[in-house]
Amino acid sequence: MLANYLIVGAILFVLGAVGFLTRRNMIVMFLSAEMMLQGVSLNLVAFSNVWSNWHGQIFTIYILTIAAAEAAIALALVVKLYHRRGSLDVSLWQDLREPDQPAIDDDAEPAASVPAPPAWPTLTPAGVEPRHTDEEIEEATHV
Amino acid sequence: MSGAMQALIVAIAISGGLGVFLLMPRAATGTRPAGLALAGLSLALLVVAWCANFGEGDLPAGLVFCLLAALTVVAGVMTVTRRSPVSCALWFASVVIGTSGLFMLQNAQFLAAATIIVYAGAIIVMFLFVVMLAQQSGVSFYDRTPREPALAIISAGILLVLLLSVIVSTHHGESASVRPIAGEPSVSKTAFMSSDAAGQHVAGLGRSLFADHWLSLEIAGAVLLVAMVGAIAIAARKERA
Repeated sequence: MLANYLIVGAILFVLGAVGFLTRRNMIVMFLSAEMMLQGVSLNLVAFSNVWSNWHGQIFTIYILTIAAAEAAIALALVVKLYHRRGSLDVSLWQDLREPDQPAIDDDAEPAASVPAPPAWPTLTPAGVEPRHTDEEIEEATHV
Repeated sequence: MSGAMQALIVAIAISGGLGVFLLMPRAATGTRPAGLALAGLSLALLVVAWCANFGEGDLPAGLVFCLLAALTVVAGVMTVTRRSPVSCALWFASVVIGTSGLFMLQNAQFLAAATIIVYAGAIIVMFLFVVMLAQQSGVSFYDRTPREPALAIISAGILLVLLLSVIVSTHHGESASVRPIAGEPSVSKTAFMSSDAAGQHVAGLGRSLFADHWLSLEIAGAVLLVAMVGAIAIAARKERA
């Protein structure tokens, strides 16, 4: 049974790595990193059970602590970065890359593939619109 | 390790990788059904690989394990591939619930509860952040376009094949009744209590935490304090002097 838990832990780790590498939303990247931590915790608890001692579980408690500290700092940074650029897109911060790395051009999305905004239901107008006086129109534009 | 197992591992990695690639949020939709089918195939192969590791008499625990592990893996895939950050957060909550169940299966009751409590709080905070910051205009452009998914999935697939090969070749067919090597001096001052001493479990964990690992406990407290101070220092608005 030990191998099965290790397999699940490895899969969680790899999925988290994929998410961290591909997603561009900073919050989703953070969630992916947390998922990698979950995979490692699963490994440690499995070893703790198999070897019949507490060390693996103590390690996992330590991981929980570090994850909490990491969450606090990461969210503070995310808020700060969001206030700077007004977006959670991590590509906006590519000025921080290594000097010999080429810039990433992310704005090459074809316009036709942008999904239309959701179609809200519309009500059929009923009755006749009353005639507005000039004062009413004047007032409505100034509200 | 048998050749069949090796082939199974490679098949899991290839079908899972292709499935995740097709499920990735991209501008052109329409690949979702194929991606779901491939990911489902990978999950079925994974369950076959799990069942190959079950020993005699593992059936009830094995069934629960398969359910929880399948929930965890499916939720993990969804966390990575959903477009909306809100869905990502909710699927990550499912990952946490699945892992807590797996902890519970392994005599780690306290950790199961602690994980749910800590991460549930973290997820709610994350949820608020997403609602506050990211949801002003629906699913945004950068959520629909993953960066270099093919390269990431190829490298991750190679990593997965290597990890699974090592795990399976080391532990194949091994039952859970491994005990520490006889005669080896135990480092721990406190004995491990498994499920036969129910009710004493958390007490044993606490004794080990405060007796064997008191220094790391102090360090963890210091790390939490430093992180709190750091988070406040980073997030606080600078007052103009």
